[in-house]
Amino acid sequence: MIEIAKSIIVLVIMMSLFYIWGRGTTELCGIKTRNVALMELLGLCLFFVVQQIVVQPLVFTHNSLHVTAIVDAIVVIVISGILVYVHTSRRSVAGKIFYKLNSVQLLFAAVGILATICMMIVAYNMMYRGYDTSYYIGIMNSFVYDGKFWTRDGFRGLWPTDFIPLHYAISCYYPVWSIVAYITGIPVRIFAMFSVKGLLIVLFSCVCFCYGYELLGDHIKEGEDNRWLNRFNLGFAFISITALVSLFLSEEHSLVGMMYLRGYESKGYCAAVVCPLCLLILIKICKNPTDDSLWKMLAVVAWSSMPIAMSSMAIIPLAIGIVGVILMVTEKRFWPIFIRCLICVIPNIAMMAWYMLGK
Amino acid sequence: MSFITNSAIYNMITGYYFHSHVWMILTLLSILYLIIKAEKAVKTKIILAIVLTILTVGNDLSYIILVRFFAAASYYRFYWMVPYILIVSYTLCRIGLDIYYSERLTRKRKCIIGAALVLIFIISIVSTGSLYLQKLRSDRPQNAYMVDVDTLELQDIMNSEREAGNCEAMMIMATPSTLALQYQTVDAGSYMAVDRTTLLDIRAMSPDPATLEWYDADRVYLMGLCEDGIQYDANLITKAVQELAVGYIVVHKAYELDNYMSQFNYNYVGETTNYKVYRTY
Repeated sequence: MIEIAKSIIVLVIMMSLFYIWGRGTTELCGIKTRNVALMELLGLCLFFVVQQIVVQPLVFTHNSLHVTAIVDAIVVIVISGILVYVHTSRRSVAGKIFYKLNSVQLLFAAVGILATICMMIVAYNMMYRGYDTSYYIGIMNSFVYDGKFWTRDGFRGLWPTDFIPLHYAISCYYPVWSIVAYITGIPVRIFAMFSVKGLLIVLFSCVCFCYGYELLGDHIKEGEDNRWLNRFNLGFAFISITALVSLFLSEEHSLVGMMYLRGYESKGYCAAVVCPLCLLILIKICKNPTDDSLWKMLAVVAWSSMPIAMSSMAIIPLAIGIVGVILMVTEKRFWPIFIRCLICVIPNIAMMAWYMLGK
Repeated sequence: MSFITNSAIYNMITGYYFHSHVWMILTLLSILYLIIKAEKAVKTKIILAIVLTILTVGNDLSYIILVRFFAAASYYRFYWMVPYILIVSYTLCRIGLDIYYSERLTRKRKCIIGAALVLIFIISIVSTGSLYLQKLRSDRPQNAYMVDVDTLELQDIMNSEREAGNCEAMMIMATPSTLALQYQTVDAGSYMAVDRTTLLDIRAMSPDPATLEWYDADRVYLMGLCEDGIQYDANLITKAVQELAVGYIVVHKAYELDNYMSQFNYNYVGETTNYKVYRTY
């Protein structure tokens, strides 16, 4: 029970960290938004971009988990400190975020949060004995047990190996969560099941909120923004509706299946957070292709896609490519859009090349 | 229609991604609704996006080419960019907003149409069946680790063995695959002699162990013993446990293998709810 409580506390700490990082990202990039859920998601993305830069070199140069954890913790604390300083010392681009909510908004927020808690309860009660569970949690377990990365083969019963499986190792996802489990001292399996999976549910709710706030909110008629019908309420209403609908699916390879059953895997994060978030930003870009802040957001999401999940390797560049072609054709602005798309997908292409050549 | 339903891509999408035709139809109807309601400029972009998606990842030729680079079983992941639950939920909300803003309908008619649509939607999704509600009813975790109780009982036995000095910190164990796959997620202080590769890639082919490399053959024999209680020639098992240095063997109680295990010097050391644990001496 203590371990589960610690896992939930870690979940809350990670959400706070993502908020700080996300708010910092929006401030530094000049992204004008008051959407806290979007900040959480951008915080997650920036966090993993930094983790990829800091952790991966240490992993591939065979440093111990202990050394990697110390370096990583220092970097995270320093960056968090800088970001807190940035948005306390200067006037915020977004303005005041935690404005006073009226009673109707509080009601919608309460229902949305309740829906998120219900999704978490469902996810925490899903027994899944998949072969992949054995591999991923087994390998994270071995990182923490041995204090070294990728020295065992999860497919072969955790026997020692010199081979680093690039198929998984190019992404820093599993080393990063192993570091957090190591620092907090929570057994890896409990940490994966409660912290990582729970965090995914909360982040998925943030994605839903963004769909309601950013997309449905655009359909509120001028002058209709009132106590009942406003972006905030639509965001929470969308969480509640999606949560309800999610219970009636029967496919484990879809977004919801990945989230409820395999939420601790990088695939779960790819299906339930990275892809829908990328789609949301691409839709917003289609509506307003000249808004640079949207392109900056897309870049952060695209750069974080492979650090979060190897599954994103081709999916995200393909989606960005498709939207890029459409915008080039319809907007008749080839080079600006081409360059923006290229900047977004370069890290994925570089890592794809590394993977293909190293295979 | 048959050329669509017989295509590899259609079977992949329905088999892996949608599972239920109700959801596929709801998604298609949702996209259609969004296209109809979109402004002209956005409408063109949505249609172009659909066409390009079909051209890149939505046809048999792409499927054949792309599965050379990415595993066929992973192809469905491209469709994560079409999160149908979000599309359907979004469309539901859009319909609600459109009805709310409609100037042609009276308040009473708006309520009736809205309620009818919600009812149709609920009947549709409930008719698809729910994997998650079924699992909540029938297969809930019994402990914080979310593993079978045998796994934690085995961990207790192994910890006792370590404390008693009967084994080194790292031990080699042969167990039934269900137990092996779960055990490595709670205790990395052991190497599992029956593993995922043996289970999925080797044994699934029903090979003649004599044709395999010794380390694969040994694992196949141990898997037969642990998983199915097959009483192979004792010399074969002796050779396998020696070559792989297996310290512990776990078999189901129902097989009653006490006498057989003693033939290659394994003694009973403890038991879980369903399994018996033997140690070499």
